[in-house]
Amino acid sequence: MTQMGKNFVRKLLATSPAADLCPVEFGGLKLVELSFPYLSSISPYPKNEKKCSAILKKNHGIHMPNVCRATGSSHKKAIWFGNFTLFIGEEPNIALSDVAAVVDMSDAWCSLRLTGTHAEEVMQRLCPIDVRLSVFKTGCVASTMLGLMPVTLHRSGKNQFDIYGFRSMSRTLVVEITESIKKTTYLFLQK
Amino acid sequence: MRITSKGFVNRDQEVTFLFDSKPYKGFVGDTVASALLANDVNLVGRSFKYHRPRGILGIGSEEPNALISVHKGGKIEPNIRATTQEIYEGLIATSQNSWPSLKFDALAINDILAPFFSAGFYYKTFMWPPRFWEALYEPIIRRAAGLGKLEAKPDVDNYDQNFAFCDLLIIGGGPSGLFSALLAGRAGLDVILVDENPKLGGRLLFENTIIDGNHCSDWIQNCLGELKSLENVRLLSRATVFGIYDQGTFGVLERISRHIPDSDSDTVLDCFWRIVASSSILASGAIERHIAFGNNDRPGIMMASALRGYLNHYGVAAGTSISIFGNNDDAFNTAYDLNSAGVEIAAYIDSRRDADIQGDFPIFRGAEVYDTGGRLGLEHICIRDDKGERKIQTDCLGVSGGWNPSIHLSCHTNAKPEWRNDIAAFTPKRQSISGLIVVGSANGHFTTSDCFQSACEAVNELLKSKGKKVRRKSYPLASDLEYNISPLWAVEGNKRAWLDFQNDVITKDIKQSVDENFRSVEHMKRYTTQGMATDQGKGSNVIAIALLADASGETIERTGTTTFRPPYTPIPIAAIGSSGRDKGFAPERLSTTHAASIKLAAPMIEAGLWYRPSYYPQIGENNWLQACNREVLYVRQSVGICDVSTLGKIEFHGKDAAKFLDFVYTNSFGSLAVGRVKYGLMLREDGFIMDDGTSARISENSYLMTTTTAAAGTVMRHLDFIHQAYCPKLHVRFVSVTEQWAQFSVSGPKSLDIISSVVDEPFNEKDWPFMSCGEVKVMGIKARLFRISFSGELGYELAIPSRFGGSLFDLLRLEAEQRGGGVYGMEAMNVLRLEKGFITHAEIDGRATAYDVGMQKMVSEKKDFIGNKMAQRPGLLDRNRERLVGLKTNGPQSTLTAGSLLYNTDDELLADNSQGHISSVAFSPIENCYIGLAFVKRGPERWGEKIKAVNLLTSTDSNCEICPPIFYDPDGEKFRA
Repeated sequence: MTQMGKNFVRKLLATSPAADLCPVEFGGLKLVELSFPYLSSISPYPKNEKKCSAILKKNHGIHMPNVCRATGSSHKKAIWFGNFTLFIGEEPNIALSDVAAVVDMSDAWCSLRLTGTHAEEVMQRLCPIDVRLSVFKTGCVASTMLGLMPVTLHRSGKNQFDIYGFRSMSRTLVVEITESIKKTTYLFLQK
Repeated sequence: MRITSKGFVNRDQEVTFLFDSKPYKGFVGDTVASALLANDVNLVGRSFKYHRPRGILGIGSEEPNALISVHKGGKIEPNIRATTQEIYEGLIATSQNSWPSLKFDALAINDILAPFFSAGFYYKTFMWPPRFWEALYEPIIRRAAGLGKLEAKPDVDNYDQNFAFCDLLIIGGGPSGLFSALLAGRAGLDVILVDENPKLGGRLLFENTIIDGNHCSDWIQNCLGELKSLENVRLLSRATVFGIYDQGTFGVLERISRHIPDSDSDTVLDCFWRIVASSSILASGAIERHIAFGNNDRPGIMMASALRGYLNHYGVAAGTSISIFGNNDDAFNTAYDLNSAGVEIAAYIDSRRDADIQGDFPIFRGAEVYDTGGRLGLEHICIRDDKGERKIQTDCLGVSGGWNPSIHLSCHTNAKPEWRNDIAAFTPKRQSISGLIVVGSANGHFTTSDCFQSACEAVNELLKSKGKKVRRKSYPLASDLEYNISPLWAVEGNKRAWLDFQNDVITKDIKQSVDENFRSVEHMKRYTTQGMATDQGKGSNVIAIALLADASGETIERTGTTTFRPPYTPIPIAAIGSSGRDKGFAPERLSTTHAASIKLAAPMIEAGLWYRPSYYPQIGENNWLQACNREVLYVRQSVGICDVSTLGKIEFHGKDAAKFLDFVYTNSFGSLAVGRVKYGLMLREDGFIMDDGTSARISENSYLMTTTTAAAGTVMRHLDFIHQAYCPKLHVRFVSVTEQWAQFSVSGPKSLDIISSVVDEPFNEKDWPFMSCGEVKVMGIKARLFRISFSGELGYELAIPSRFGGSLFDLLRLEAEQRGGGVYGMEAMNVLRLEKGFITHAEIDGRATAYDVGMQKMVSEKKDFIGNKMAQRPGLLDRNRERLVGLKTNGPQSTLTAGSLLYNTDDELLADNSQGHISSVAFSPIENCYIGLAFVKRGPERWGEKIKAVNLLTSTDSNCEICPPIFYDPDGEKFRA
């Protein structure tokens, strides 16, 4: 609620998952929270995968991504999330509901972006998958663990990773990545 | 003493450190061992069992004797090898295993009593009388045993962990490793080279070998220069590959700051790496072995190659008059280098009669050292040859019994090495580990040229296998001599001759082991403890195996080795577990109201990974029970607000969603009308209850299932499995929306008032009957409303997108407070659900069936579902099973404890007499007594019976009455109102 003068104006206030936790900046590395108007899960029904991709393309300009890949741009994209595709940036067209289970996920995920020259080293410290650029190229996606938390990792640039974790785990997520940023920076400074 | 013309330490940077409180000076680049030797100190510790004076034996991580404690930042770390600990300004080190001082150790009396402490002594002697073992023997042995002392304080050091992936991992930075890295790096492979030493170069750092016409140090510099220029090569020094695991995974410990003074709290001590490599090259080198002869453990007796290394790399001569005793040509290099540096060689003793060696010092061919003398340091050696016996005054003896390839890592996945007579050593079998190639002296190539050649062949093989272009075989030429050896394991004599310096195992122990029929190498190891110390017998294993073979009339090959296991060298467990410390132990799941609950001073309790408020204390309340009772009465008399967001929420979509739910629940959901909610029971495949919860039909083809907080993940996995394994063609998709929605229970007679005041549209109570659901708007935000109750009162659950959760909670709390109610936590929730007889995972603990909890009527006979057949097993429908009942005490003074066992009032407290157990208890302010849910044999048939609840942990009991499990509003009139 907000207060105006002596009267309370009844209004629900929105709080983002990593509010008060981000941004974090240290030694040229930066962790910020991403804010999107819409996040929706899209799970095509059996034998409707191609139709779903076509509808997505027709109405939103992007195809459904392949396994471990993402499509689209930084503001509107579709990311493989394992059991579903996370469509980010626009309200999904109603036609998609005929061919897929479409569920609003706008409040479910904590979306973070890590950028910096040593971003790869920061993620490698936390995730047990190979994030070398030669293997985990820009556009690649992995469903993996960050510490003990399940996350979806999207390499959105040479030195940039987008990390999607459970909203409820935001604090641990930011703390773990911040720790890794500090240790990476410390070790590079030392070497 | 220092030899001014030799060594690579930085003589411009002097360093002062303390050893046993006495200050010494060294140079940057020195280890504690080299600096102490430079200061003419060789007595550094006492032995494990006999407390014999011990000096520095080797020069690397294989060191068994020179174990020290390092004091840093107020903490003490024991068992650090002085040969690997680099000195820094202010380093404080102390010797171990002596009292009151290193020079005079009271427990040295053990040495005099040595005949009583032979191998197997403990096993035989402390058998009688049996009661003495725990009372006397064990405490005394424990007090005397052990090397170094662990601190009782928690470890406050900062550790790190890392993952890495590469095409090729090279283990060892000696000539073979460096050359492999160079060739693989040039070919474009992504290479990681790991070496345990501070400087790369391996054995070449200690030698004067000429490579391609230049000193080997030049070759190292050129090689490193090129490697550092290659972006695809990563060099990791001060890092030990301590274990090889399946699928090309390697455990590595990198020592980050053990060589520098404490700087700040961010200082990372060690880093634990998990490296995954598609291929690997093992270039771990070789370790020189000893020869067993009388009193061969005195300070001043060292490995010959170590003497050479201290001279060439650190510029230190470990004695003023040095003797060398060996059985191979390599030992001669030590005498040659020392002599060339101006150090007196008292004698060169070679066990080979035909040794082709020449030197400007006394040489004894076909001779042996059979005894030594000197109390705290070597003073003389006794040798014998064809001409007889003689005593030679010497203060240092270098011994070389040959070289053992460092094969340990190649055997970590249980491969056995093979014996080679030509070099009298074990070498790894080819392909002992998938993708691993062993090169250099680790594979028995004991000249530098051979090392280069084997590295070249290995990299070419690797490149070929990866489809890369193979370069012409070309490698540097080195000057070192051939390695000729004539095995000599032990010298005959009547004095004790040591094999395993760290565990004080002597040659007689091996013979005794065989005499007592512990003839297998594994039995001998355990009987004598040979190879079981922190050095894992790196220098002693092969001699012990040879002596065992000799004593048991077997060949060395057939005798074999013991099992090699990680870690290769000791590693701190704290480093391996670093990611699990403090908050790293488990992620915290915080609901949207977490901050508000903390602000209201609610103690948080863990529910799975979630943190939930236990209760909300108020001023004037002295304990949690007062707060809990108040919160219960909010709900019973007014209205209470509770955050129930942590319950699992799964959305199902598709025209077969109903069919799928019918398959996973015992009861039917296909007939559920849109906008209605139903309670469901889910079984495991074995027929026991998996979880329960409500499911709402939110549209014709959409359902929302709720699960318990604790089982949300398990249920999701269960559903995934059922879908993929049994009905993948169903037109259904489901996804967890637990995180999407913040959900609040609004319960109590005044709950309707609150709901009416917060939703935007006029709220008509009749439109929302019990077990209905639908969409509403709360201040313009789309929300979901469910008319359900977990408290037994008129109740609603209001769900809103999580971003508004905190704000809605504040609003609901204020609304409730204005009506004489407030927020309530888990304790009150537990009381409310217990009074109503609602089950949780305290009841459905994996052993309960639908029949046990009185829900057999919910098990449909008209359809098939997961667990159906198994739930019909006669044993699961036996009326004598322990089944759900209620319990209540006679007044508030008599308490109950969850977990207590139940006995008939007249029965003895024997396991066979147990009638069941209590699953949940609470104090009910409505009943004004303790109530509980319990599982009792033939439970529902015994309502009204008295029974005794016994807590065997606290030896307390209380009498109570068996009653129906619903204590409050049994007809459900209130929540249906």
